[in-house]
This record gives sequence, structure tokens and C-alpha cells, in this order.
Amino acid sequence: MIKQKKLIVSHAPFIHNGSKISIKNYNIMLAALPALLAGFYYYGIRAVGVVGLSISFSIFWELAFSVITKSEKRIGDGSSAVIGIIFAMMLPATAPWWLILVGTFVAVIIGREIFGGIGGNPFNPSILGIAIIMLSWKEYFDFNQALINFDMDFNMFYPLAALKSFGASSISSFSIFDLMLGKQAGAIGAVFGIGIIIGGLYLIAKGIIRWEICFSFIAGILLTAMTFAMFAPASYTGPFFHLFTGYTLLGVFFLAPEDSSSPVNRMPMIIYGLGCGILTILIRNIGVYADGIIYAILIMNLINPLIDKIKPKAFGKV
Amino acid sequence: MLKKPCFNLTKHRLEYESVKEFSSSIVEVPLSEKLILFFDGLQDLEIKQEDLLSVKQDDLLKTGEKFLPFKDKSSKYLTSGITGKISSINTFQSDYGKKYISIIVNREKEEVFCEEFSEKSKEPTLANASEFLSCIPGGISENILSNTGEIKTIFVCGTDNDLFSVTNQYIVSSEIESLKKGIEILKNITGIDNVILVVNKYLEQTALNAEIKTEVISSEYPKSLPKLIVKELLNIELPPDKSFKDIGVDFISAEAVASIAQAYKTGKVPVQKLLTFVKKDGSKILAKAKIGTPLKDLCAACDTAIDNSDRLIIGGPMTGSAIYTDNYPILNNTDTVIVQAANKISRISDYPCINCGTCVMACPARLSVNMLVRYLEAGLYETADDEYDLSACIECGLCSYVCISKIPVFQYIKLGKYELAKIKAKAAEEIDD
Repeated sequence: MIKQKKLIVSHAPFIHNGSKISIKNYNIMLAALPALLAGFYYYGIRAVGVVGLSISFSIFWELAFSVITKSEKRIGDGSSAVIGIIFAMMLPATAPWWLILVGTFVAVIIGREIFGGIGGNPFNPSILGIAIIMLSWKEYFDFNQALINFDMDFNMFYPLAALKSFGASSISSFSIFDLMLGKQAGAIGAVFGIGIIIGGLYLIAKGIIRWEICFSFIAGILLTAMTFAMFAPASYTGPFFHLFTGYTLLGVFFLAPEDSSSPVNRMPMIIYGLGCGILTILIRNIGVYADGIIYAILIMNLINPLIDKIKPKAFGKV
Repeated sequence: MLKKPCFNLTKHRLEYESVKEFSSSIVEVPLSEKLILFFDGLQDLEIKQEDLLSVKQDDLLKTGEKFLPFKDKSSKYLTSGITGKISSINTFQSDYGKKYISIIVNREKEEVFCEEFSEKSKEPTLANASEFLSCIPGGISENILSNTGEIKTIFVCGTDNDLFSVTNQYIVSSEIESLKKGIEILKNITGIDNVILVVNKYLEQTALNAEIKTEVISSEYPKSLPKLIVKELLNIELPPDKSFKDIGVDFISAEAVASIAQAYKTGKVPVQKLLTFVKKDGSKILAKAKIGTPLKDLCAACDTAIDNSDRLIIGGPMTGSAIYTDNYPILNNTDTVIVQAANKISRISDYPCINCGTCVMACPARLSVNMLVRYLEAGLYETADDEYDLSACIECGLCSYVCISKIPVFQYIKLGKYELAKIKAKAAEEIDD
């Protein structure tokens, strides 16, 4: 018998565009840097500690899970590190280590691994982690209390708390420009609006997150806040204050467009984004919570499979 | 049709190869010692039933001689490209259970041309085209050869179906006169007046200069797949349960049309196939070889050595198929042969779908590929078809090309379609019983 060469056989296509999950995640980390660096600048070494711990714990939890379940180790793809970074961006710089440990556990294990790992999570894992610890230890998320020891050269009253407690007139001391520059009390990665926008636009340009979700989210916020302000200007503030305070921009560019928990068809993406925006303002203006982003996105994550059923007619179908 | 996400500056769209960049001359592959001819009219017949076969070992074939592998009155036949003796007859199983009879012809020293065609075809008619020319390079579909009046439009594809290939574009750019002649013959013998040459923009002027009725399509992949040509030029989206015949359209490649002209001009059945050969380093050349030439002879003529763990692909990089042996022949529709070096092969992975939606954006058939692949992975082929339009896929392969998780989406889809056809066939059988 003639010695046969052993050729590799596989199915078409035989070329690939070279995209990789790890590259995607490293790009998300890169996009988070401007906002994070500003956080480090304002809150110093404690913020660095919080972010570092959060990333390490996230990776640790995924590694621990894959060792226990004897599954393939995929920590190299950076998806846990991204969960860790985004989770830390929502924490105050004073968050204690055990809070981060528990939060990342909820995010990585409960938010993602038990649903089947990457791609299986119905909710954005970082948001789920934050939501649970926010409900459990809410005193750590009272940014006025948490950041009491930081003495900055700007108004250290948490803007959304001011709005909630004292009404629209109390926020006149905040200038939108200061808010954009990060001169406000808040979470490590959520205060520097311009940085988050730069990161977000970078991700949109790279095609990593979808502009439909981001822009419709912003549109939802602006429209709803504008409607409120139009009918009762005394009690509700204008849309731009909402845009640059709390987790808003973080939600728009880093939380809502998370792959697995957001829609993929165009119309559903727009509905999803609008829904996030509208719910955020509803919760902020009428609800009990100062910041509505977390719950707005969680709710929209929940109905994502349902709205993603709105799809265009396939080729040749009538 | 890679749609860019908003302001996406980093990803390029996929363009078909253009013959403009081809400067090198055509490599003529020397005559092989043996030819392998594939006959695909095989359904459930077993090769062992030798009484079905009309040919046997040691039968002598002349160059250009047609022969029916079966005694059955089926109109399908093969044309031998060399003068030689049949040395063996085997079955060959290909992808998705497709069966061929492979007939190996060993070359004799002296070449004798078969005169049957030239005697019987002084004038081009549909009857003698149908009798002799269905195996010409590029191939002619049966719907054209047995025209019963349903076909109103024939598209002559001066474009190539898949990336890397320039075969048909080369015919348009350098053999436009025989193409024109072939189109006239085609019009005359079929009585179909609406024969339209489809080319990319840069060849439009060449075609217009020759006064051929021409339409231009985009050079962006996958715009020259037949279904998308029909959509672009006739504004019809062909439903999955209909064929091109139902809407009165058929396709023929530019190479086939040029071969028709050549056949009637020379009185010989053309057996030389033009194809694009892609070497390991990615460089592309045009080669001419007889239909049935084993790929190893082609590779040798093109100075490419095939080693273990390389990949040998017939058809283009998006829709072709990888084969396991270099003893596979050039068929009359093999426009492209690609050799990929072992270290350049992109592997699939077992990552799950992360629901990024890139495939949904890339899909020219507007399928929800992300959901489809979940159903297909679970083997729920009928649900995949009912709810996520499995059968509407036009098989361009872009979903797999862009998949960040490197899921073999296209393979799942093809498998799903194959299994779905089996399920439907079984259901139909049960109704008949």
C-alpha cells in the first residue's frame, strides 16, 4: 500500500478573521483605563488596592471553580479580569477586602459560572455582584459616609443622594463641567465622565460594543429626564445632571452592552437601550434608590431573551 | 457582506480577488499517467452490481470520448480527457454521504481523438450539446440542456463564487471573443434571448466593448453567490423551498460558455479546466489541467509539496471542502485549489457562544445565527428550521469566518440542513406508506 499523507480535514470556511475573546477583553480593560486612572488620581492608593483585589479575587474564583469542577482553565481569556475591573469601578475606594471577596464571588460564581460559564450568564455578572452586596451591606454604598475621610477641593456630597434627599434646588452647586471631570463623590471608576466616554467610543470604534445600545440608552435617559423636568422643574433636574452622575455612563458603555446579557438584533438593541434609560430615570425620580442604573439594567437583562425575539424576516421568507 | 458596526475602522470587508493583480502566465499541467473521473449520478446503487455498469476494466477510451457508466438510460455521462484504459472502478464517499463512482483511466502512449462529436455536430443544436457537452469545464446545468421553456433568463457568471478564485474573471478579461461567440450559440440553441453576463465593476468596460448584455455586481463577498445575484439583479429573494427553475432563472459559468464556443469551433469536446491555485505562501497562480487530473500532479506542476498536516482544499476558502487525499481529481467545477500549510491552519475551539452578535451582523440572509447555533448544537433541527429559519441560509460561511469563539457555525448549519432533509424524507416516506 502506498504510504498516505495525513492531511488535515475540517469544514469550511478555512480562513478566519482573527478575532479572539482575549483580545476583546484586553481592549475592554484598555478602555476602562482612563476612568480608572482618574479614580486613582482622586482616591489614591486605596482605590488601586480595591481594583487590584477585585481583579485578583475574580480570577481566583474562576480558577477555583474550574479546579473544583475539573473543567478547562480559561482565566487567560481575561473575562474574569474584566468582571473584576468593572465590579471595582462601581465600588467606593473604601470598600473593605471581604466585601470585594463576597462581591466577586457573587459576580463570577453565581453570576456566571453556575449558568455555564462565559456566554451563559443571563445577567451582567458585575452588576449582579454589586446588586447583591448593595442590598446586603448598603452602608458601604452610602458614598457620603464611605468617603467621609477624603478631603477634596470639591463638593464631596454624593450628587444623587443630594438630589434624592433635598430636591432639584440642592444640586445647583454642582457644575456639569466639574461632574464630567470627575470632581464629585462616587465610585472609583464612575466619577470621571469624560474618561468613560473616551473608553466607550474606543470600544464602539473597535466594534466591541454596539452603538445601538449605548446611544439608545443615552437617548432614553435624556428623553425621560427631560419629560420629568418639563412637567415639574421644581422637583426634577435636567437630563445632563443624570448623565454625568452615579453609574450612568459606566452603565451606558460598560454594563449594558455586555455580550451575553444584551440583545443582538438591531430593533431589540434599541428597545433594550431605551428601556435601560427610561427605567433608570424612573427609579431615580420616583423610586427609593438614589441610583437606578443597577436595577434598570438587571430588569432589562431579564427581558432580553424576550425582546431579542424581534428579528428581521429571513432571506426569502414572507 | 460584512456590515461594519458604527465607525468600525479596524475591520475590512471581504473582497473577491481581482484578475487585475494576476500577471504571471498560466501553468500548463503536463499530462498525467492516469485520470480519475467522478460520476455523481449514483444514488443508492451499489457498485458491486456489475450488471448496472456499462464499462469494465480494460475498456479503451479515446480522448474526448463520452461514455455512460451505467447501462441505465440515464442521460448522465462522462468524457475522458485522455486516451487510455480503464484500470479500476470504485465507489468514493464524499461529504454528507454523497457517493461517487470513481473510474481510473491509465494513459496509453498514443493519443487518439474521438471523432464522434465533430461528425455529429456540424451545426450547434441543443440536442448535440446535450449529448456531448454536459461535462465541459464549468459544466452546464440540465435545466438549460433540456430546456422546456421554463427558463427565461440565463446569467453567465463572469464572477467567481468564492474568494481567491479568478477563473471566470480571467475568461472575461482574456477570452471575451469566445465568450461572446459562446453566448450567441447558447442563445441560438436554447432559444432563450435573455442571456446576461454578470461581472464585477472593473470588467464592465471589457464586456461592453464586446457588445455583450452585461450587469454589474459588487465585488464584495458574498455578492456573487447565485441567490444574491438574483436578489441584486431581479430583486427576488428566492424562498428556501423554491428552485431557480421556479423563477425561470439559471446560471452558467463564463468558462462553460467559452468552452461551448471552443467545442463548436474545434470540433473537439473541451477537457482542459482552468483553475486558480493558491500556494502555501498565499500566492495565487492560474493553472490549466485536464479534468480528472489528480491533485498531486497539479501540486507538483505548481511547485508545491504537500506534507503531513497540511490542508488541501477544493473550492474556495469560504465554501470549499478539505479533502483527505491528494489522489482526488480536478472536477469540471473545481475553480480553486488551495494548499494551506500546517502552521497556517486556524483551528476551531470549544468555547461556547458568547452572544456577541457579530454573526448576526455578518449574515446576508438575516438569520439569528446566535440562536440557531444553540438549537443546532442541541440537535433540534426541526425547531431550528421552524423558529430560526435554518433552511433560509444561503451558505456563504461568513458566520464561521467572524465567530470570535471560533465555533464551526457553518458546519453546524450544513449538518443541520442535511439532517433536516433526512427527517423530511423519512416523514414523506411514512405518509406514502
